[in-house]
Amino acid sequence: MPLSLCHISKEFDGLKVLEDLTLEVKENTLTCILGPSGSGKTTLLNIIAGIIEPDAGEMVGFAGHRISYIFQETRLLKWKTVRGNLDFVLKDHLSPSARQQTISHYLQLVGLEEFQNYYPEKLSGGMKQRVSLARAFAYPAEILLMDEPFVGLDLGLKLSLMHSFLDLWLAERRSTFFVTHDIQEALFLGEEVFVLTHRPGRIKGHLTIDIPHRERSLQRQEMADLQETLYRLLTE
Amino acid sequence: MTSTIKNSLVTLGSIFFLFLVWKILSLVIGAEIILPAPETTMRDLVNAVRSAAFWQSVEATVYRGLAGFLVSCLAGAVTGFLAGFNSVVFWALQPFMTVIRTTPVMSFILLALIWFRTELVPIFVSFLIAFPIIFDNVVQGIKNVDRQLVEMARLFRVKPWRILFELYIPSILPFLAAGTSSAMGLTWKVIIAAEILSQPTFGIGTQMQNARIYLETARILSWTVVIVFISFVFESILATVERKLKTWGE
Repeated sequence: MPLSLCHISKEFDGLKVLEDLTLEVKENTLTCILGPSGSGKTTLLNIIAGIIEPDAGEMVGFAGHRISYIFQETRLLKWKTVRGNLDFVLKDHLSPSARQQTISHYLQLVGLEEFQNYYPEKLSGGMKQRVSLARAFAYPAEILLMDEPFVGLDLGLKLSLMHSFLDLWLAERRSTFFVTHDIQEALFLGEEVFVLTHRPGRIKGHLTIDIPHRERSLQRQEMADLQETLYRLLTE
Repeated sequence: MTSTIKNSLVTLGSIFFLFLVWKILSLVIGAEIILPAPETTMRDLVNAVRSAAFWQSVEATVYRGLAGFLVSCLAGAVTGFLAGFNSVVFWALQPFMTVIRTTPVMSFILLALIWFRTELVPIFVSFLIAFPIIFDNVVQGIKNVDRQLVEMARLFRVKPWRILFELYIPSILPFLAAGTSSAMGLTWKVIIAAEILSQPTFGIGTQMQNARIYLETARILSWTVVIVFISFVFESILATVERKLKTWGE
């Protein structure tokens, strides 16, 4: 069943943030919402998450699905170990034995199994980000939301985290919406990319990238063309 | 030489210096009744420790101090939590807290002497001193809880009582530690003052007041040493508990 947002509008104190926004994607698609700052990206995510109600419009296919999150900040509890942090969000949803297995599985996928008993303060920034990736994927949810998770990181770290993310995501695809203002992130991760206008946010462009993730490289002419298209859409 | 050993040596040196100044002053003054020499005081302390009344007094004072302190912690934590979460509670409690904070200790003691049994006076007074300190620290702690972490926990549908115990309480722990530590220190000072005026059957304050009446200056000083020591012991216990609870980082 496809997931769709139909004619979503939202304003705060008379300021229109989103206006008549419509999009539809297939299940288990990695959807990127690309927009300049102030295009209502975070508001859109909050509407999908059910944290805020739209003023108008409806959402189809989201009801009854659990949602997981990757935030821009790592948002780890510093008084809990890596394992404890994952356990914190899983405890109310899985049995103890399932939790043990799930946690080990995802920590292994992000390469942090050896660090499971470390407190966040002892980890590097990148490792903490990976813990938050593992937490998001370990959480039993059909939908994953990401709010600019790779913003403000240096290029090397950003690439390595995007790879970690793809390892997790390709291992078990799930419907993912991620918002960003970074064309490269959209280009390397997005399967469906929707470009938003400046406030109030509306969809002004949409493109589908069907190149497999592992084969995406700027050396390919198609990728360079797509980048050009996105750049034009975002800036015009 | 490690820095801990070095620090301990500096502390020991400074204690030695204190005794030296005390000794010199007592020699200059030359009247035991005004300022007894350190060794006279220590001899008096050793004599006092041997008596049964000493331990009964210490026990009674420690009991009162702990009772006042624990009641303050409990009441301060509960009201602090309520006020931290709910601004109506916070503003409703403000006038009371301001009155309690600004009223002179002596007013409390005198009123309590009229209202309560002598045994209860020190506990009541220490409660009024320690309770607002714990309350303030808990409120501050709750206001400082990272909203993003709370949002994260809510989005991952963590049950509210687990958010309270696993997120709020650990975050306010440093504030609670600061609050309990200063409340503990003040508790002993206030308990003694209240005992001096209320004269319960047993109590360090009662003993000090008796010593004053008989001009036993050495005895007053040795009780002072005892109360400083008690204060130090409980301060260390609190610090140890805090270290045990704070499992992460440095």
